[in-house]
Amino acid sequence: MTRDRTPAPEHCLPLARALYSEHSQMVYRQTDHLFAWLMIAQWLFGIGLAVWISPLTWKGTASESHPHVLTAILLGGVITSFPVLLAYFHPGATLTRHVIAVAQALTSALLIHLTGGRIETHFHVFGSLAFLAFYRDWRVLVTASVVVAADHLLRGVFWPQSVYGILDSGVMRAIEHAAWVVFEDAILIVYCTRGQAEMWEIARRQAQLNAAYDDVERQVAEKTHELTEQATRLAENEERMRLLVEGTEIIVWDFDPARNQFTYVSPQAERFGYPLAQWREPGFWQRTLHRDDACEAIAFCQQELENRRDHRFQYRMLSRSGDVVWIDDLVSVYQASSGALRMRGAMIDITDRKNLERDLLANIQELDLAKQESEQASRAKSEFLANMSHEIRTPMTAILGYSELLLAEDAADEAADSRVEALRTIHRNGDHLLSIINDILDLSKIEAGELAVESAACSPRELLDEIHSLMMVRAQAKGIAFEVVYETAVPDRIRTAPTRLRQILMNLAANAVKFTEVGSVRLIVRMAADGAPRMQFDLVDTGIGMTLQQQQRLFKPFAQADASMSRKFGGTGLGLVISKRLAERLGGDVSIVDSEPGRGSRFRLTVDVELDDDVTWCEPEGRRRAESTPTTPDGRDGSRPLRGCRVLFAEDGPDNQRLVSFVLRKAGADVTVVENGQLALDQVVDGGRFDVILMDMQMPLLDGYDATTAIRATGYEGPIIALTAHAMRGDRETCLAAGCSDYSIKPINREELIAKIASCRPAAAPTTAQ
Amino acid sequence: MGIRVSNVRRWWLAAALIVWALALVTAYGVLLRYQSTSGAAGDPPPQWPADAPLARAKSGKTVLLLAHPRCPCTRATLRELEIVVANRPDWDRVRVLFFRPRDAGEPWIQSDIVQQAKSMTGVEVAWDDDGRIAALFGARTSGHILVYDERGALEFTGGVTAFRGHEGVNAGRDTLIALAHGEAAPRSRTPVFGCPLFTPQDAAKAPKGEAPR
Repeated sequence: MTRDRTPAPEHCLPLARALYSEHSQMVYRQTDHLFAWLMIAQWLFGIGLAVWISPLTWKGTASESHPHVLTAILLGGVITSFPVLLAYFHPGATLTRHVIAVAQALTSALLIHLTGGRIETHFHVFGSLAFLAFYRDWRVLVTASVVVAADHLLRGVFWPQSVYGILDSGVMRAIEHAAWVVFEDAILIVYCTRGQAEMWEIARRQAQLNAAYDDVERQVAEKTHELTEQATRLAENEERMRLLVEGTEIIVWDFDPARNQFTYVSPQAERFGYPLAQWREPGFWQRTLHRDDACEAIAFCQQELENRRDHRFQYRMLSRSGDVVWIDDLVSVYQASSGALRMRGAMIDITDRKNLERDLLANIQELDLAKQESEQASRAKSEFLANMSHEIRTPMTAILGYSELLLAEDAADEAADSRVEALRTIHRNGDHLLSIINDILDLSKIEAGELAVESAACSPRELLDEIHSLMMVRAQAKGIAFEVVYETAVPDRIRTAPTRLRQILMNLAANAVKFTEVGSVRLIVRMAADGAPRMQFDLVDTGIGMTLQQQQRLFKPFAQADASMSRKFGGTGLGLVISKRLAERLGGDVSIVDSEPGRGSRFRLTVDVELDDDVTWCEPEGRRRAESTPTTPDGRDGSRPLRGCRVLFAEDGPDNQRLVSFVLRKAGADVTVVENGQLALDQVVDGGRFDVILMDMQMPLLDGYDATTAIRATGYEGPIIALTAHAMRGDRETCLAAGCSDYSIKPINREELIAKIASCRPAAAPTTAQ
Repeated sequence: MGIRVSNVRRWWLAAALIVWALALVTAYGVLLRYQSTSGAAGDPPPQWPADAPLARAKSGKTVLLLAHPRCPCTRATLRELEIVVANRPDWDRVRVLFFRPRDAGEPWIQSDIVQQAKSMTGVEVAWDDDGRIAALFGARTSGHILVYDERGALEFTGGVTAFRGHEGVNAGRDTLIALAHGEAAPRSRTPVFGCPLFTPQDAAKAPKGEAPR
């Protein structure tokens, strides 16, 4: 088709086709209606003409309507009716315009016929074809032309007179007529195709125009939507900003340096007492600056403006009432559309903050002072506790030692019962007093945060064996059983604070033994069930047990389960508190799992331990019972465990000299006693051969620390056990740093001291100095 | 691109189209039949009747046209005759005799056809009261032309149109032109297309003894 000659953009083609179709339909319909009217007019004209020319036909004197009139009415009516009806009821249809074409051609044929083939009436054919070209559908022309040709041929053969006005027309006449019709058809077909092409071009352009319009509409809609959204967001932001600014009492401002005045100030500015109009007066800012800050603030601001730097600074202003107002000003320098430099920013009233800072500073200074005083008091307390510890332990060493000594001597057996009982009373109360002092010191250290928790490798089995051996004696004394039960495999080595762990276990075990009159005490050991490196120790006794109320009073300083307990069983009530605090320091806890009056109790100690990568596990091997025979650590003779051991004992106190030397000699040791560190050093330097050196740390002339260091300097590699009445934080570390191998606190525990010396004593021949 | 129609409507349209075509053919056929049906040929005397109330030309041919003054078909005959006369204006006598009943009024006498005949050059218009002359010459249809030679012998009888009211070249005209040029007439008789000159009722109304036969 012609319309395909001009390509339209692909997306426009459907619309172009629709528009073309619509336009074509409009042309068809309009032309259909035109022809309807034309044919009606032709019909009426034909009737009128027939009536005018030959209204009547005559037979003599009689007349009647002429057949031409009837023909005009009837035949004309037949010809006209169907196409007119189609044009009315079915406009635009292909059938309609082709029927119209046929009818119009027949009208021409009738006219030619009625005029006897008058050549003038043939023009009706040409006129009709031209009129049909209104359709711009060349097929209609073909239809009409075919009818005309058929009429000419048919009548030219049978009634040539009715077509050509002559009887003998000849073929050439028909060809000539047909040629003229074809000639006009050719012209009209070209006209029609051009008309269609123009219609297609119009449709294509209209489609493009519509597409462009739609595109513009779409873009406008999108832009409008975007603008609306932006406007909405902007309005929301403005509202938020307004609420923010108004809600936070921030003063937003814009300043024109050229005019030296604010061009905008948010309403919060009125909080300083100045109306907004006054804020906008030239020079307002400079006038209201605090005298002490004015020069610096103005100069700084000017400098930052010249350098076009955003800045922030604090200064003081004066409110209208004369109050000082601290301002934190955030300033942005920008270039206005006019090119001039402007500033805008936000002023924050930080007066309250400044006042708070001032108060806070004062408080801090007060706190610092208080802290210094507190620290000084703490130091004084520590010194006091250290001194008290030293001063009490030293005589207690003598008291306990000698009472123990007297009781141990065979002579005691021969002494009067009253005298032995008095000695036991002295020893028991001394021991109790020492226990109280130790507990108070521990609690003091814990609450002062001065309790050092070391981390060292140790063997759980050895530790438990030690507990077992110590508790076994007490249990046997009370006639109850004491056993250690391994429920799971335990590592051969763990990393923890062995001293503290031992202290906790001893405390718990001692408690269990203390409150159990019949039955047994079991120390159950296991690793945590969840696989974590955590050990659990359950102390299960068959003792007196506790009520719920009693349980709730446990773990509180100086509070035993019952006030009568203290009287009956003794103790300060600090043991569980200290154990619990120590367990917490070890990453665990001490808790009561179960307790029932008259049935016993179960306490549980949990501690976190560290395990080496190459740890080996010792499978449970049953239980150790109190009935088993205790052994000394080195398996030597239990009555004289230090037989043959040469001990150098440096101690300035004559009581302790005598006591300790007596104890050691009684244990089989060969003891050399010196009065101070210098003499000890001399002994070593002079070639004295000692298996163990027992060194008091507080001595005249040369104290234990220096003496130990000096002895180590001589090359002595044997054990040096520090002996001190100082039990405060850092004493142990200080002793070890000086070169000591171990550490023991006064007053001495005879058994512990002997056991410690025995464990330190080299298995081989005694070491000598160079 | 055209209008879509339902099948039912399509059938109706097809039926209407067929009916329309049949009506057209029928009407056209009736028309052709009417127009191609000639009137009564009549029975003209081969010799000029002796009792004719008309004078025959002394020399040359005498041409008579018997016509009805109100027959529309006769217009074409007159125009054809005019052509013939134009070819031989010196024919002695070309008479057009219009049938005039006894009670003919002015519209009859002054009809456009009469005026047309009167305006023709070389034609003499006369009235044939009650159709007696037509009856004498055996003419029954308007447009009937008779040509008698100088000896009174009938050379041609018939019409000069091929159809009712149709002008144009036709055998009658050709014959007359040939005769006008003294040539041999291709035909001596042609059909006459026109209105009946009179009816039996007209004959009854004519005075006794003068009624057309």
